[in-house]
Amino acid sequence: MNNKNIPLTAKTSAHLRLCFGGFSSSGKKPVNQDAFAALIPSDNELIAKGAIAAIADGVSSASKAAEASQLAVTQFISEYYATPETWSTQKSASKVLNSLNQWLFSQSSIQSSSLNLSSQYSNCESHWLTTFSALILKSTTGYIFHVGDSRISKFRQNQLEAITRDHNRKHGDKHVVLTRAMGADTRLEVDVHKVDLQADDIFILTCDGVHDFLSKKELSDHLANISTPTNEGELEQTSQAIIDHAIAKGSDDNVSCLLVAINEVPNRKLEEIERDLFTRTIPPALKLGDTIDGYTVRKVIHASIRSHLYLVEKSLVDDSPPEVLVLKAPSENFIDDSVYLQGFMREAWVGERINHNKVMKVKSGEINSKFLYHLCEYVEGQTLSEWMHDNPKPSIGQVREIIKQIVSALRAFQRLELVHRDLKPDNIMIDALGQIKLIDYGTVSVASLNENQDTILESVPQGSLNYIAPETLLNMKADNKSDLFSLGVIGYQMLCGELPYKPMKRAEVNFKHYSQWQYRSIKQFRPELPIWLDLSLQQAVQANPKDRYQAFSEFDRDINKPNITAVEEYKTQPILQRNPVLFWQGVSFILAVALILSLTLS
Amino acid sequence: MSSQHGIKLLSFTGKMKVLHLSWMAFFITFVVWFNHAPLLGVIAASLGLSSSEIKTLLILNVALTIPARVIIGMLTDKYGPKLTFSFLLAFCSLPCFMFAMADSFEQAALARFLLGFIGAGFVIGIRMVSEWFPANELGTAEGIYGGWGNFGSAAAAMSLPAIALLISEAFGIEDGWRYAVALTGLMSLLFSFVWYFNVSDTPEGSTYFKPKQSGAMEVTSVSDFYLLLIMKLPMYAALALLTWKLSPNGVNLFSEQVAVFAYFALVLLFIYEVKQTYKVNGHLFKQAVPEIHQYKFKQVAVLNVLYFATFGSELAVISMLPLFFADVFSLDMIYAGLLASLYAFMNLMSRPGGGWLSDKFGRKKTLLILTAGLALGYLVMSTIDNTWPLALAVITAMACSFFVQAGEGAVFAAVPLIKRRLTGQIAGMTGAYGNVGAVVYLTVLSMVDYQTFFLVIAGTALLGFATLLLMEEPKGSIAEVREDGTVELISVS
Repeated sequence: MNNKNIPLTAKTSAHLRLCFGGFSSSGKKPVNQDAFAALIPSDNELIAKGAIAAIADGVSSASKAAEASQLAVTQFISEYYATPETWSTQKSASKVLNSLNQWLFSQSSIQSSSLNLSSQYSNCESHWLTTFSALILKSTTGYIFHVGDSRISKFRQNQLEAITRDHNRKHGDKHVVLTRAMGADTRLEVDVHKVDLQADDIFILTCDGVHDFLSKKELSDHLANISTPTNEGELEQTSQAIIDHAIAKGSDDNVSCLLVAINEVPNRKLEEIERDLFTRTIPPALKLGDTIDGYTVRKVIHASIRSHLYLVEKSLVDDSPPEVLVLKAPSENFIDDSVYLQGFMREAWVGERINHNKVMKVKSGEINSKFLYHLCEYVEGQTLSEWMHDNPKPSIGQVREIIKQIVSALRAFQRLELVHRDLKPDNIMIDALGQIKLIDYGTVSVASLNENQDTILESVPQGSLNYIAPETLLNMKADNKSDLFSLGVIGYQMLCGELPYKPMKRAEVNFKHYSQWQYRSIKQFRPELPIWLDLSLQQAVQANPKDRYQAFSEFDRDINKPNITAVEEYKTQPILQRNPVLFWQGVSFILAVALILSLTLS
Repeated sequence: MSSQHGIKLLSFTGKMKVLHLSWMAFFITFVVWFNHAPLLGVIAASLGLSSSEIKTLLILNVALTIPARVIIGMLTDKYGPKLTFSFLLAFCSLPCFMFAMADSFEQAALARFLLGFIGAGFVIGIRMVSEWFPANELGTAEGIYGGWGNFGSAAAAMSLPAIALLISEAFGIEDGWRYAVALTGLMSLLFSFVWYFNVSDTPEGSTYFKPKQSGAMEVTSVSDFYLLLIMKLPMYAALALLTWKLSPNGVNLFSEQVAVFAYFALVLLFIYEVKQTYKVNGHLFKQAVPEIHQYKFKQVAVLNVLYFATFGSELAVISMLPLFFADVFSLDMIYAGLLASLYAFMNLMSRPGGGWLSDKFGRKKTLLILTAGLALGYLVMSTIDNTWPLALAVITAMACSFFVQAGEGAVFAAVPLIKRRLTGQIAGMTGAYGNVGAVVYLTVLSMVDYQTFFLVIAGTALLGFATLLLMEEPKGSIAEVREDGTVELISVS
């Protein structure tokens, strides 16, 4: 697992602190088909992905029960940490569980093609079946993923409370049948729970060999003895005591118990988080020849009220040609703006994790620099807004090619569960060969970080006037469809130099409803453009995200191949819907004529 | 990936175009605002005004500016600098024409009172410039904006008497001053269109949503809360002073009832403002503000007092200096206006220079020297009488004005360093104090002779010097560029 060097927050931050301890025994059975595993990764990964505790109980009637449970817990953990650091917990876990389930099921199918799915699992013979319960602890939230009858319970203030529901059914007195298990079907239903974490919480993961034989009271008594804060040794001893107790109470199954104790949760106050953001100094405005951390300024590229861009070279010791990079530093204007600084740091964090030839690469500067800046690859060319100025009426083919490339970059964002949020012609570079590159993603929204308590909430919509999606203005929400909206606006603007909606004059949110965005047909600016293109742009920039294309591919497809059905539908629409203005103008005109007629005739 | 950087004065594109148009707009507001000063002699003769009535006109001219700043500030927040400045320039041409056509003291007084509105144009341009210039160029850009704009009063003083005379002689009309004044109104009206069609509120494609600014000034400790309330009082005191001046106790422009009503309105307004301040800052009484968000309001208070003495005295002096020279040295109005314009002429250099000096030598040190200089300057000016050689008197006035205007530049160079997030509000309050100073000084002038008037200003400058000792050197950036161009952190204790 790779750990990158940029600290998301400074050293003093209060991380989630926890420890694990567990014990498993085959009990009265000859083999132990239970398995558990737990991992606390390094701090940076702990922030992005969290810590995991997982328990699995191989279905004893299945031939590969022990292997299945073992595989489930170890694979789940290693695969989970291999998912992108930007993904939300739920997305990461469900992807991993799905593929894990597929694999287990495929093993079963290979060995027995005549599996009767509706039959009870206890009848199964040679299968990879297991229960599975995992607890992912991240920031101040615990995420629970659960299948089967192993159990996760929370012990807080001497109260033991089961969080998961056992997926089993009682047949008669003794006979209990599992109703859900990993590896039983191609489709897997996983229960997902979210719980808040508090310091001194203890989570207990048990298999049925424990919780079927010990009462809530008996378990609570064990847990109540754990000191606060506790350590791994103590948790292990307690687990062992619980297991011994269960065996003593007559447990005839494998017995496993894993304890997770929360010693500290990140509970820093806003100002502590902000103080961390403010620890790194914003460099002063640099002049030609100034040097910062060994990077010498060769050119001042851009200076605005938001940031400064410089072309820099690292003076190297050997004779190899110096590396040319772009150094980006925030403007002093943001010296006390924690939301902006948070976004600035995220840009570097994301830049290191996104690896796509249409997205500018970002790397952190000196690891322990006291200054706040980052280094970006030098991108040749002009911005798309300059390109639009130089190419006032491009062909559909030209625009299509550019849109296609932007879509491919945005897909990279989407795959990582990122939303750019500030897509606009000034943030897209295009070179002489027509190759584009997205630059500047300081307002990127990262799913995995949005889950964390340490994230400072934004108080205003993030994005630029006229390119920002309506749902962001109305509800402060943004997802990949919001980026699609911005892309639609850019496409429209490239084609005709105008905006699809009446330009907003001031950065003021005075919209109340989606109906306040009234699309202006592109044909009024460039009449020669085909209707299908107009319709597809209209759908890309629909104010209500529900009416918009639901995926980049739909937009991409429709501008590549005329959508005949849409055109037909449009033609059959009543004029009131197609062109309301024309309709009402017509009505008014007819009424006016009628009025004049009636006046003159009377 | 390239754009214009640095301040290139000869350029007229991008942000430089905005800067040039901004100072021109501000320049015109100053021409209109002080178009009466160099013509006072002829106006008085033509309307038959007494000396006390003339001085009343001077006060009225700066009175409305105090509340107008608040209104204009709100309009700029809501509608942006482009619309607001256009509106202000067009709207204020009306009272300007009104003044040009006035036939009595009452009419002239009303026109002058309404013209106080145009004095609030400063805030609009400051906002405009701050949207276009990066932080490191902002000080210089605002120095140019403020300095060159203020030069408008000098331009008025230099040109209007001559224009008035020219019109009188060329067309054989008696009241040439009316045409000169109307001409400035026409300029203002025309420029409102030029402005509207040539600027935009923000650079293209970089308009972001900003958190709403709260109406009232934010403070960060309970004691600062009370200090803020105390610092609000002088603004009401200035308006109350004005009311008193206009009541039967003063020049009898309005009746006792109206005066009582005005006092009452002021009290209500103050109560309302206290309420607003509490609404924004009430949380202080429940919970202390975390240290990283704290700032010391006394820094603002000191800058306010200094701006009272500098900009306040400048406004007062440019109103009366032509009259002063004409009276003391028995000069004709054109000549007196021309000499008096030399005072404001210094603006071109001194205001940006003050910002530059404080960048170079530190805020507090620069301010101390400049304040001491202006106290001394006004002290010397108080001794000017007709035994002085005229040249020496003019040089004294110019030397004094250097300290005054450099002081203004230095005050505004310190404003952004107090609390970045509140820069707009701090600048607004500081600017308002400049207008309060003008009202106070001009009211003083209406009651005493020129010598005492200058002595009073020198006295307040000394007071400013004393309060300045309480100010802490605002900590600028803690990063520094060394001689060899290496950027490094310097430790701040």
